[in-house]
Amino acid sequence: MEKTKEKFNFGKFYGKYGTFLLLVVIFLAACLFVPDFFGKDNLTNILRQIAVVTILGFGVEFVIILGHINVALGSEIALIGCVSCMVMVAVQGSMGAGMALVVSILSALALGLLIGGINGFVITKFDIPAFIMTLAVTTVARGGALLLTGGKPVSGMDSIYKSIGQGYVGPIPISVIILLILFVICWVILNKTRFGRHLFAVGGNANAAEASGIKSKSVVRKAFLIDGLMAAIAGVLFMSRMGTGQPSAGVSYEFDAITACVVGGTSLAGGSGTITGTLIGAVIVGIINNAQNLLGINAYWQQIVKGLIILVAVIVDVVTKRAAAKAK
Amino acid sequence: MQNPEYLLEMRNIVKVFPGVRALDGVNLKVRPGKVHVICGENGAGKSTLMKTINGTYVADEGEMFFKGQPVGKHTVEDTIKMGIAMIYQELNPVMDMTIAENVYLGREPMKGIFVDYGKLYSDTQTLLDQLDIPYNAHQTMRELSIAGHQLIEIAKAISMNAQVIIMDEPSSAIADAEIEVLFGQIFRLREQGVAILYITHKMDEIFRIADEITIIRDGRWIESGPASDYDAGKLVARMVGREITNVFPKENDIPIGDVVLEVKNLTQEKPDGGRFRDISFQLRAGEILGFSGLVGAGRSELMRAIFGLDRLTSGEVYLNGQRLNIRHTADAVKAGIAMVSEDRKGYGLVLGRSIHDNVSLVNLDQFLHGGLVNDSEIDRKTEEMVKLLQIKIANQNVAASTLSGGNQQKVVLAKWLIGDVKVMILDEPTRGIDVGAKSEIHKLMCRFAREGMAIIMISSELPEILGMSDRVVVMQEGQINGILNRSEATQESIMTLATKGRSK
Repeated sequence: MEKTKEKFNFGKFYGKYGTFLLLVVIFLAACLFVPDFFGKDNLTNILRQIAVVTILGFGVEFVIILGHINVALGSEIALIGCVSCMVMVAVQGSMGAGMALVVSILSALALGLLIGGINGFVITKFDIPAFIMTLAVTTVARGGALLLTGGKPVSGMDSIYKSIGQGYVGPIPISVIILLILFVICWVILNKTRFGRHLFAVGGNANAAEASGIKSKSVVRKAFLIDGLMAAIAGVLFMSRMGTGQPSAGVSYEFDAITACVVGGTSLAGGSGTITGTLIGAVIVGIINNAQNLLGINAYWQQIVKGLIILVAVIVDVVTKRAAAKAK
Repeated sequence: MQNPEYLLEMRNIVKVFPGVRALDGVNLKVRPGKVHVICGENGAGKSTLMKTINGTYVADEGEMFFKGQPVGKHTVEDTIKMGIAMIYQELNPVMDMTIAENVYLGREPMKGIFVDYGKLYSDTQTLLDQLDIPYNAHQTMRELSIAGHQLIEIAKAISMNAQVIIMDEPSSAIADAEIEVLFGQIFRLREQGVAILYITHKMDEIFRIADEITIIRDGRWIESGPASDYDAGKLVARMVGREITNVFPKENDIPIGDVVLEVKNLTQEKPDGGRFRDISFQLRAGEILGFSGLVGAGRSELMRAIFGLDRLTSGEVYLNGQRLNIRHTADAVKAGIAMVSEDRKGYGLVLGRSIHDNVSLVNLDQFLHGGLVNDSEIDRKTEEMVKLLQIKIANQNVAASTLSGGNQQKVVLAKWLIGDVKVMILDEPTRGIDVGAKSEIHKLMCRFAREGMAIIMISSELPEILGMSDRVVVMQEGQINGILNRSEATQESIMTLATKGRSK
């Protein structure tokens, strides 16, 4: 049977190029039907708007490939972002704004690693579903952010802090540069490192991975560390863009990040997914949100649309997979 | 036009899947009260034919007659109503429900809106007693062995008044002693006029139970006839279209070297009872050590523990005289121990990933340069393995799930062979693999042994154990009952040891 000619199979074709096609179609549709959509300013704006969610998507991609999930990302960026703001405010007087920014970012990264480390540790140690663990973290992190800030926005950071989210290098927003650098790093990790291969193996078949000498629990813990790091970077970027540390912000950001992954062809069942797909998925969702804003569509309707998008993406994933399996 | 002497007749069945003619003009005539064995290599179309009969697939061409009446397009439900039942290769009983609940699953006797449990259990018990199946209807399926599950499946078929029962490799998952129970049941059904359609790869089984034989090859009908017209050589020749001179080509001149692996007093205790106790043996370079025993003797559990998939309670493992402390499979792999699991899909391959990815999984470090994977090097090495093991694939980027059983097994072997393996543990290395690929894997085993590898082979097929092993370890209920030299090992001596009964 392995020598038969490959016939055209829509499921397979869609699995490979579907996301990209979808991007092209939606982009063209937006250009045609949405006034003011096509223009340098608006397109740059879209990339800036999606930076936080996309970086979260890169992180959670690693976790989803393993068949796990993180539903706490929105709270995590609130906590980490607020802590970075508070650190900034606390030290900028004594050590100067530049150095304070470094310390602020380092403390955010450390906190991100800590949260990711705890997530991975508890999930592997007690063998509990990632959904339950991160559901708990959702309120713990949110509570922590509100507790530390007293429920009030953190302000008074030196303007250098805001430059990460609001600044430009030439015509390109700094946040977009960070986004692209992280894209390259994550792409390399996923496609070219031993950890990346192990990630797909454990996500595809944890038993077979174990029987090949791979420590699957260690792979899971590392994936959550990366997820935590990405949440840290996203958290700083998020607060920096708003200019204040908002302990109640970031609600449902995890949902947008997961949607980006799924629209980008990552299967929630684990074992497959690409960073390129997640980037494209995030851009698609970003265009749809932007187009709705430009068209003046009511924010409540936008929420409904968002929910339907992820539902359709998952259904498409399941249906195309089934079609591909049938064609075998 | 019709011939009522046949219970079931299939004429010129064609079934096309995208890109392949899985069945291409197959004929089948099944008489009542006969065991009809379908023979053919893996991929010949046996299972497809069975699924076409029972309505899982719809034939593209051809006719089907049941009791002389033409049967048009039909579904699985239709065939069950007509009296055709199929017992699948892999059964999926609801483990925590009772035998009775499983037998009447989905058609429970009702009293108003409630299930009539009294009738459910009494009907089932009557059925079990009639069939001489020694279970209580209240037992849960979890308490039964796989052979037990099959017996219940047969009981279920009888309860639905099945006149044709299709069995797709029922013996592949059960040990030789349990096969007797299954055969006893088959003979009983035959006397009652039930027709049995039976698929198997095992020669000795074919000649024990077959009344009639139909051979298919590459989806085409080759011939049908009474079993008495055939012997093993003729049958294999017809199945593969070529003569296989020696099914088990063990080369007897392979030099046996020093002790490579030695285990002492290995014991594993679990809360629900011991898996094995006090296991000691030695394995030498170039040696193939066979492990025989009934299913449940603890052979696989022992090997899993040596390899680090499960933990030992106590005992020592030495490799080349060095004590190993295996806490994880990673430690075993580092020491040079490889294991090919009996559960190829569960523990051997990441089915959704490519051949390329699967082959490089264990020894990925070989291909790392500055922390990055060099894929073109993996390509080259994989290509080398594909040639060495004669793996039949279109290219190495196809998913492992698309390969046949034999080729999948070779990919599992390849994944180990690109590293330095000192001890290779093979658990049922040829289960569910067709005759041709089987003998290729046996040849490879000889080749590895000649290169100095020490090999452990678990097999539930006695001919394979006898044909391939230098020595045979016979286990029963988690203990070693005896270790036989090649000259002492016979079907009888092994079975005697495997079933000798223990005084506790």
